[in-house]
Amino acid sequence: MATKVTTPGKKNLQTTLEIGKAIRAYYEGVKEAKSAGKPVIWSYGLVPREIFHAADAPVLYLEHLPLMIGAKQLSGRYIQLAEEEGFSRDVCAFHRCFLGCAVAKDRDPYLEKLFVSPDLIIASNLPCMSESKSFLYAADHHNCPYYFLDAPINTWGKDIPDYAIEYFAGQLQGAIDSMEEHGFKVDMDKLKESINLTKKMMGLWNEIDNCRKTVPTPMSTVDGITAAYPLIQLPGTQLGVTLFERLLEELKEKVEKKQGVIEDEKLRLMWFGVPPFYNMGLFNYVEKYGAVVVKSMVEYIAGGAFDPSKMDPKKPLESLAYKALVDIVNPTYPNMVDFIVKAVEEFKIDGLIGVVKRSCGLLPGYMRLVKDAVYKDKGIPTSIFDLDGLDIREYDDVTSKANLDSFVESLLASKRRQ
Amino acid sequence: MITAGVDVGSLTGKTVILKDNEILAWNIIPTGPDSSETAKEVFDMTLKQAGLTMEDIEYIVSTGYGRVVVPFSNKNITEITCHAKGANWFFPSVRLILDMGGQDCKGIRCDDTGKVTNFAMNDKCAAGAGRSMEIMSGLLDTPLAEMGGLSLDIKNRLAPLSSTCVVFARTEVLGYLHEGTHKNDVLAGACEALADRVYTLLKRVGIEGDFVISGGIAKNIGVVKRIEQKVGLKANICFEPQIVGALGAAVFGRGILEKKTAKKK
Repeated sequence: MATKVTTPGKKNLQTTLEIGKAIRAYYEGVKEAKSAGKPVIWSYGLVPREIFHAADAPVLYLEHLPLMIGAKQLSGRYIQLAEEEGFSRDVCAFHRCFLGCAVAKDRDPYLEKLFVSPDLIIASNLPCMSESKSFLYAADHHNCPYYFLDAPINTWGKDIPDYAIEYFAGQLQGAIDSMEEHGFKVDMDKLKESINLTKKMMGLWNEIDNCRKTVPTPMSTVDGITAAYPLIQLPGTQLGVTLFERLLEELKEKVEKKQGVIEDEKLRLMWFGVPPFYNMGLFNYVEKYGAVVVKSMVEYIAGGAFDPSKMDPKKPLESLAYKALVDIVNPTYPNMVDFIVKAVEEFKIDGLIGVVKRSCGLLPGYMRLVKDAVYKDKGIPTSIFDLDGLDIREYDDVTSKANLDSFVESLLASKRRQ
Repeated sequence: MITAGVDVGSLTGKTVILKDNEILAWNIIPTGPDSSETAKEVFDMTLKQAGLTMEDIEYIVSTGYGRVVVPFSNKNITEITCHAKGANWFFPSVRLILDMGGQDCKGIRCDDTGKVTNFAMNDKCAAGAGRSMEIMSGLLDTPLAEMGGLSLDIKNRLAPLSSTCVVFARTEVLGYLHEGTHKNDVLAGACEALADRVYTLLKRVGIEGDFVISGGIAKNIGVVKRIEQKVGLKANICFEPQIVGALGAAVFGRGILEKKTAKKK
C-alpha cells in the first residue's frame, strides 16, 4: 500500500526519546518470552496493568499495537484486512487494525517484530463496549481462552460508590483466577508494591503536568503522548517511576531556564480526540504561527483523573478498581467536560482543536458538549473537524491543514485585538 | 493605492484588483493542474483588463487552497479569513457567511469588521459542495446555470437525494431516471439534499444576523431559495459571488499597506 506524505512529530526532550527506547525494549522482551515458551496475554483498554506486572506476564497491549504501526504508516493495510474479514468501516479503526494484525497471514517486518500470538486474552468494556466482541473474534481465531472484565458504567458522577468498587475488584479477582488457571502466578506482595509505585508515578505525572502549565511550555503533546506511555504500560513498575523522575528533572531545568518548545510562544492549544498517529508532525505544523499544542485529551485517558492518595497497598484490587473506574472515558459526560474545562484553565489554553474519528462510538459525542462548556465557562473557542487518527486511508492533509490554518489565524487575530 | 487578491480554489482561480477601495478589474478561470500557473494566468488577464503592469500593484495577497504556491504574492491568508473580509466589504452588516465552493463548503460567523469569530467546514465529502452539482449537471444533461431554475418547477416532490456521498447520490439519480421520474424533480431532490447539508453546517456556527452566500453555488437559485427557507433569512449575494475571497485578500492587502504607510509617518 502506497504511503501518504506525512511527517513524524518532532520531539524536544531527551527523556521521551529514552521512553521510546523503553517501548521497543518492552516488546522485544515480550517476543523473547514467547520464544522461550512463556505464555503471552493480550489485553486492551483500561485493564489495570499492575496485575500483569505482579505475575511477570508478557503482555501485548492491543491499543498500543495499532498506534505503533500507525506511526509507521502501516495501519491502513491491517484495517483493510479486517474489512476483508467482514468488519464494517463503522467498527472502531483501532479494533479493525488489531484484528487485521491478528488475522494477517504475512506481516510487515516492523509488525512481525512486535507481534506474538496470545495464550490468554483479557478484555474489558472500558472504554468501549465493542472491544468485547472484537476480542472474542481474535480469541476464536487464535483458539485461546478469553476472560472479560465487566466494568460498571459510571452513572454516579464524581464519587464512585463502594458497590461499584467492590464489583470491579471482584472482576479483577476473576481475571487473576483466570490467569492462574492458564499458567500465570500473580504475586500478591508484588501487586501491593506495584500500588505504591503507581501512586508514586501518578504523583510524578502531576508534577510533570505542573511544569507543562508554565509559559512558555517546556513540553508539547508530541512529547506528551510518548511520555504517557509508562502510564499505559508500566504503571506499578520501578522503570516507570525512573523514567518519570528523569522527565521531571529535565522539565524543571527547562522551566528554570524559561526554555519553551518554541522561541516565541503566542498561542497554547489543546487537542481533543485521537491524535494523528501517522502524522504527528501535524502538531508541529502550527508552530510556524507561534502556536504549541500543549496538551492532548488522550494523555488524560492514559491517566490523570485519579487521586494518587486513594491508592492503598493494603487494598490492591479496590485501588485498581478505583483507578480504572475514575478514568475520564468511563462515560458520564459531565465528568469529562468538567475535566477538560479545568485543564483549559490550568494549561492557559487559547483554543481547542476537536477531531472526529467517525468510527468512534464514544468521543464524537463529547465534542459539542466540550465545545459549549469551554466557550461558556472560559470564552475559549473550539474548531471541530473530521480526522481519523489511525486510518491513514481517510486522512486528508489539505483539509486538515486548512482547518488548522484558519483556526490559528482567527485566534491570532483575536489576540492582536485584545 | 492599488492592491490585488488572488484566490486559487479547487475548481477556479480568481483575481481582484482594488484601487482606492474600488474594484478595478476581476477575472475567474478554471484551475488547471498547475496552481501557480493558474494564478499567474488569471493575474495577467486581470492586469491586462485593468491596463496595469505587475509593478503597479503595491501589495498582493493570495488565498484559497493554492495560496502557498502563488510565487508573486507578498502574503498568504486562509480563504475563511478572506471570505469574511470580502463579504464584509460588500455587505458591512453581514454576520453569517456561507461560502459554497467547488470542493468544500464553509459556514463562517464574523463581527462588524469582517473578523472571523467562528467557522465550520463541511466534512470530507463533495456531497456538500459545488462538485456535486457539476456531477448532477452532467448526469441530467442540464447546464449548471439552468439547474436552479428548473429545480423550482417540479411535478412531484421527491425526498432529498442521499446526502452522504455524491457517488451514491449519482446511483440514486440513475434509479429515478430509469423509473421515468421527471428531470426537474430529480434536480429538486439534489438541491434539497445540498441545502440540508449546508443548513446543518450553518446551525453548527449559529444562524444570526445578516446573511451572505458566496461561491459558485450562490448562482444556483434552486439551492439559494431552499437555504433561505431553511435558515429563515434572505441571502445577500453580490454581483459575482465567486470573487468574494479574492476581494477579501485585496482588502487585506490594502490594510497592510495602510499600516505600513502610517508607521512611516
